[in-house]
Amino acid sequence: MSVYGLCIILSLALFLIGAVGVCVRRNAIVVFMCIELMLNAVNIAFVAFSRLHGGLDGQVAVFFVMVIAAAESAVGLAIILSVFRSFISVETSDVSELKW
Amino acid sequence: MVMGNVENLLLLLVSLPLFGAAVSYALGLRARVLSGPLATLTVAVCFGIAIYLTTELMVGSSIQREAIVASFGSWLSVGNVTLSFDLYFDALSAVMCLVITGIGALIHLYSIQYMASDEGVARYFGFLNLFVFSMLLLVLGKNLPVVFIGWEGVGLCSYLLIGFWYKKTEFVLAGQKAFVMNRLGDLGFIIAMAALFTTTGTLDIVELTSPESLARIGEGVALLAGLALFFAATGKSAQFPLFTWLPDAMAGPTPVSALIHAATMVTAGIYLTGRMHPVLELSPQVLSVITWTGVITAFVAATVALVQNDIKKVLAYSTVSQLGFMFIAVGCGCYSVALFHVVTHAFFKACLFLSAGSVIYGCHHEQDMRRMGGLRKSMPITAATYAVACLAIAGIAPFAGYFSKHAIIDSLAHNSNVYLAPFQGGLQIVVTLIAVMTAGYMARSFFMTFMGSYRGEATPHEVPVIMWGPVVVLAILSCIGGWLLHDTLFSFLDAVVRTPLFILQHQSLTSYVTGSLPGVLGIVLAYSLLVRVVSLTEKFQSWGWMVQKLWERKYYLDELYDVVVVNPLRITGRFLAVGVSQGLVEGFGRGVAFFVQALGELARRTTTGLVGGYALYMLLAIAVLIGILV
Amino acid sequence: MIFESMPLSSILLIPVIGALICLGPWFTKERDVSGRLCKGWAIFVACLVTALLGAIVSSSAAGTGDSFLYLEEYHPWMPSLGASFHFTLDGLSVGFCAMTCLISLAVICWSSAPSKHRAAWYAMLLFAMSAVLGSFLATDLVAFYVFYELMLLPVLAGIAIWGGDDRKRAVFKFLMYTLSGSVLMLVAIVYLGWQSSQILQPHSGVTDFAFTISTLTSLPTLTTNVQVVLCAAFLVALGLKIPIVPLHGWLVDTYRQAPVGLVAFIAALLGKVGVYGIIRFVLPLFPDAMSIFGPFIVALGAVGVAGGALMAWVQRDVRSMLAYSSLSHLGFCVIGIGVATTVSISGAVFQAISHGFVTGGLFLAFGRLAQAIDSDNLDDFGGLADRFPVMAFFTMILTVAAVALPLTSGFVGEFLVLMSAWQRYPGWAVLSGVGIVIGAVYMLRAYRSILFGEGPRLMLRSNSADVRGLDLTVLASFAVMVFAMGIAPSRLLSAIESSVVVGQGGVLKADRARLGSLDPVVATGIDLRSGFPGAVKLKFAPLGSAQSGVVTAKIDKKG
Repeated sequence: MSVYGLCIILSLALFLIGAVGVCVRRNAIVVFMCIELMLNAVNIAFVAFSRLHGGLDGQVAVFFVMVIAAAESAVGLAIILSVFRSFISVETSDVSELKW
Repeated sequence: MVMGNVENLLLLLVSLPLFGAAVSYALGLRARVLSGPLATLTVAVCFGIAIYLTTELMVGSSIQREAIVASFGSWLSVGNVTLSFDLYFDALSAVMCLVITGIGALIHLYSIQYMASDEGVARYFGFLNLFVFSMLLLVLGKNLPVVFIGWEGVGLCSYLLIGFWYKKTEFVLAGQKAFVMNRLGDLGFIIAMAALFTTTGTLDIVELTSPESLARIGEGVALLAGLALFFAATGKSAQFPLFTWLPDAMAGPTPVSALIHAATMVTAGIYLTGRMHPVLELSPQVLSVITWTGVITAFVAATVALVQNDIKKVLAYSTVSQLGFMFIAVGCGCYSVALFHVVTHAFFKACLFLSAGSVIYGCHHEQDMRRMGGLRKSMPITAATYAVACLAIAGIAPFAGYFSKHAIIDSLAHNSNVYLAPFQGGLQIVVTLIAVMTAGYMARSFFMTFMGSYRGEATPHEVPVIMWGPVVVLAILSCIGGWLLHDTLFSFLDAVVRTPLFILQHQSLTSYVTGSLPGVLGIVLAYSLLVRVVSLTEKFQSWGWMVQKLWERKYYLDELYDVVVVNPLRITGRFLAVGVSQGLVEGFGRGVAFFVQALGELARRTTTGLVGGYALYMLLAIAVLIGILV
Repeated sequence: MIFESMPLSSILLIPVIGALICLGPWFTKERDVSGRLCKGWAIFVACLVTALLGAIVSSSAAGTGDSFLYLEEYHPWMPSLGASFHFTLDGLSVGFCAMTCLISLAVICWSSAPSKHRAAWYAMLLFAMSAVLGSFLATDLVAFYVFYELMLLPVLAGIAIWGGDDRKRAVFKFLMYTLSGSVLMLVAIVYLGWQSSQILQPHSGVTDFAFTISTLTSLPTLTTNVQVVLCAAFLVALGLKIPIVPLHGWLVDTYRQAPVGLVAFIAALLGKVGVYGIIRFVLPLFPDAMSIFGPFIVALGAVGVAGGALMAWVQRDVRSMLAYSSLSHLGFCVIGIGVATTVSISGAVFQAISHGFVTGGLFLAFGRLAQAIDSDNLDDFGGLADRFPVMAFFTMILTVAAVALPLTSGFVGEFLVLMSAWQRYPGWAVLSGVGIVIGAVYMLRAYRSILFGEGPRLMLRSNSADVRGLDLTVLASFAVMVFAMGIAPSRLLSAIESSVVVGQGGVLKADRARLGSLDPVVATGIDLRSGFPGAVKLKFAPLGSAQSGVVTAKIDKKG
C-alpha cells in the first residue's frame, strides 16, 4: 500500500472518530473538537489527493478550510460561551429548547 | 297599448288603496284619528270606480266589452320569461272588485268606531287598506305572477292583522299559523305556475286559457297543475286539510275577521279556480277532488261548529263550511254558482261577523256565548241584523242564502262528472244534512246570544250608529241580495264562466218551500235541543262523549299535523343540524384536522433537540444520498 | 386624469389609501384618535368609491335602449408569468360591485362598531371592501385568486380582534376551511396557465402563460376528464365560500363569533364571491364538466334550501338561525348555477345580490337588538316592538323579503330559478319550494320571538334606543333597495343577461366576442377580434401585451 493509501485511511479514521464524537458526545466543547477533527481529516485527504494528482488545487482548498475552521472556532466558542452564561452548562442535552 | 280614461281608472282603482295605506299608516305619527276616515274614504272611492268600470263593461244587461286591460308597465324580462304588471277587468273580476270594495268600505266605516280607542289605529287602517290593495291586485292580475303578488299580499296582511295585538303571543302565533298554512298552499301555486309555464311558455291567464295553449297541456300536466292550483286554493280558502288556521285567525279584530276571513280573502281560492277553470276542466279527476274536498270540509266544519262556545269560532267554522259549499259548485263546473254564493256569503257573513263584533263591543270584549244571552233586549238592532243574517245563511226562502245554496245543491244534482256520478245520491243527502246543521249551529248561536236571559257580568249596551249603520245595510243585502242579483249576476258572468241552464229556470213557490225545509228543520232542532233541553253539550255527554270531544278538538287535526308534519320536520331539522352538520360535516373537518395533527405528532418525535441526533440524521442522509448517487 | 386611465383600479385603490390614512395615527403614539373622526373619514372614502362606481357606470352605460355597460382595464403585472391586473366591469360584475359598495357603506355607517380600536375597525372594513371589489372585478385568474385570499385577511383580523368569546377557534376553522379549498383552486389555476402556454407556444414562440378568462376560453377546450378534475377543484374552493351544502362546516361558528357589523359584511358579501367566481370562471372554462356536475349541483342546492331551512328552524340562536337561512337562500344560487340556462343564471345572480341586502340588513338589525339585551338567544328576546317601533317596521320589510314575498327582491331570484329548474329537475324544484315554505316558519318565528309577545326576559341595556339618524338612513335604504329590486328588477336583470349568454347545448359559455375585446393574446398572433360584431365601438388604442389600457364598449343586446 502506498503512502497515499495510508493517508486516506488515516483521514477516514479521523473523520469517523470525529463524526461519531459529534453524534454521541454531549459536551459542546468536545463536540466542537470533534468537528475540528473532521475538518482536519478532510484536510489530510485534500493534501493526499493533491500530491497524488500533482496539482495544487487541494492544497489551496486546505488553506480555505483552515481559515474557515479558524473563523468557525471563534464563532463557535463564542456561542458556547454565551450558552454557558445562560444555561450554566455546556451539555447539549441541557440546551434542547429548540425542539418543536 | 293606448290607455284611455277607463284604463287609467282601472290603474287608479288598484293604486288608490296602496296610497291610502301609506298615508293612513303615516298618519299614525301625527293625527291617527284621521287615518280611519281617510282609509274608509279611499275604499269608498274605489267602490265608486269599480261601479263605474262595471257599467263600462255592461250596458243595460248586455255585455258591452269583454274586458278592460291596463298596465303599470313591465316587471321583469329575462330569456323567455317576460312579465308585466298587467290588469284585466272582466265580469269575474268586476264581481270580486265590487264585493271587495263595497263590503270593504262598510267594514272600514264600522272599524272607525270599533278601533277608535286602540293605540295602533293608524297601523290597523294602513294594513286594512294594504289588504284591499292586495286583494284588488289578486282579482285584477292578468298574469299569474301578478295574481301571486296579491295572493301573497293578502296573506301578509292577514298575518299582520291577526297578530294585530302583537303583545299577545298566542295572537301572533295564530297569525303565523295562518301565514304558514297559506304558504303551504302557495307552494301549489308556484308548482302550477312552473308546470304551466314549462308546457305553454306563458303565464298570462288570457293566453293560458286560450284553446291553443290548452291543447298543448298534456293529461299529466293538467292533473298536476290542476291539483296544484286547487292545493293553493285549499290553503287560502281554508279547505280540508288546511283549514285549521281560519278558526285560530279569529284572534284578530272582529272587523278583520269579517273582511278578510269571511267576505274576501278566503274566497280568493274560488276566484282562482274560477279564473283558471279551463285548465281545471282538462282533468275531470281534479274536479272530482275539488267536490269531494268541498263536501268533506263542509261536513267537518259544520259538525265542529255545532259545539263551539266562542261566537267568533262558530262563525269561523261556518265560513269554512260555506267555503266547502262553494267548492262543491266549483267541482261540478258551476263557477258562476260558486261566485254567486261568494257574493251572498259576503253579505250575510260580513253581517254576522259585524253583528258579533257589535255584541263583543257591547259586552266589553266578551266572546263566550255562555256568558251572553238575552241581548235582544239591550241590543235590539244587532239582534235583528244577526237574526236576518242567520235566516240567510240557513237558506230560508226569500233571503239571500237560499238562492245560492239552492243553486249549489242543484248543480251537484246536475253534474255529469264520471268520478262523481256513482256517489251522486249519497253526496246530495250529505249536503242536505250539512244544510240542516248549518241552520242548527247558527240558530244555536242566535239563541245562546240573544234569547233567554243575560248570564254575564258586564252591562251590555247597543252600539252607536256608525257601527250598526253598515250592519243594517249588510242585513238588507242579506234579505234581498239573492233575489235581486240572481238573474243579473248569472247573465253578467256568462261571458266569462258559462252558466248552466238549469240555474236560470224560474222557481216556483213550491220549490221555495221545499228548498227552505232543511233550514227550518235545523232551526227547529236547535230550538228544541238547546232551548228546551237546556244545553246541547249536556245532551251530547249523555250519548256521545267521544263525538263531542272529537268535534271540540276539531277531529284532532292540529294534533295530527303536529305528529305527522311538524314534529318529523323539526326532528329532521335537529338531526340535520346536530347529526349531519355538526356531526358529519364538521366531524369530517375535525377528522382531517386530527389526522394532520397525528402526523405532526409523529414528526415531532423525531426532533429530539439533541445536536447529536441531528448530526446523526445528517450523516445518515448523506450516506443515503451517496448510496443513491454512486 | 388618473381616473380615465385606471378607473377600475382607482376604485380598488381609494379604499386602501383611505384605510392607511385611517390607520396612520394609530401607528404613531397617539392611538386615541377619535372614533367619530375615523368613522366620518371611512364614510367619506366609501361614499367616494360608491360615487366613482356610479360615475363610471352612468358614463359608460349612458347609451340608449339596449346598450349595456362594458369596461375593461388591463395592467401587466408579472408578464413572464402571464399574470395581469385585468379588471372587467360588465353586467355580471356591476350588480355585485354596487352591492359591495352599498353594504360596506352601510356597515361603516351602522353604529354597532366595537368600542376599542375604532380606527383599525374602519380601516379593516375599507380593506375588506377593496379586496371584495377586487375579486368581483378581476377577470384574470391569478388576480382573482390574490383578491380572493386577500379578502380573508381583514375579515379574519376583524373576527380575531373584536369577535366573541370563542373567536380563536372560529378564526382558525374559517381559515383552515377556506384555505384548504383555495389551495386546490390555486393548483387548478396553475395547471390552466401551464396548459395555455403549451397551446400558445407554437404561435408566439416563447413560453407564454395566460390566465385571463377571455384567453383561456378562446383556447381549445380541455378534455372532459381534465375538466372534471379542475372543475371539481374550483367548485370546492368557491363552493366553500357560498357555501354549498356539505362544505358549510365553518358557517355557524364564523357567524356566531364575528362582531355585529362584520358578520353582516361576511354574510352579505363573502359568499357572493363564490357565486360570482363560479359564473365568471367555472361555467365558461369547464362547460363539459359543468354539464356533468349540473344534476349534482342542483341536488346539493335543493338539499341546501330545504335542509338549511329545517336547520334554521330548530336554532335557538338568532345568528345560527340567520347562518342556516343564508345556506337556504344561497341554495337557490347553487340551483341556478347547476341548471345553467340564461334565466337560471340571471336568477342566481339576482338572488345573490338580493340576499346580500336582505341578510346584511337582518344581521345589522338583529345584531343591534341582540346588543340591547346582551344575548343572541331567541328565548331571551320578546316584545321589543314597543321599544323599537321603527326598527320593527324596517325589520318586518326585511323579514318579508327573506320570506320571498313578491314585490320584494327575494321573490324575483327564487322565482326565476324555480321556473327554470322545473323544466329539467321538477323534483328538486319541489324540494326547494318546501324550503321556501319552511323559510316562512323560521323567519316569522324569529321575528315573533324578538319583537312580538311579552317583554324580554333579560333587562334591556339602559342606553338602548330605537334607530335614528344615520342608522335610520341605513335601514331605510335597505328597505328601498329591497322594494326597488323587487318592483323594478328589469334593469339589473337585463344587465346580468347581457353578459351571460347560454350556448345551444344549454351550458353557459362566456360570450367570447365581448370578453376577448382586449387581450394580451392579441400580440401573440391569435386575433380574437376577428369575430367582433360591428356594433361594438372600442374607445382604446391598440394594446400590446405589455401595455396598460382601458376599453369601454357599448354592446348591442342582439350583437
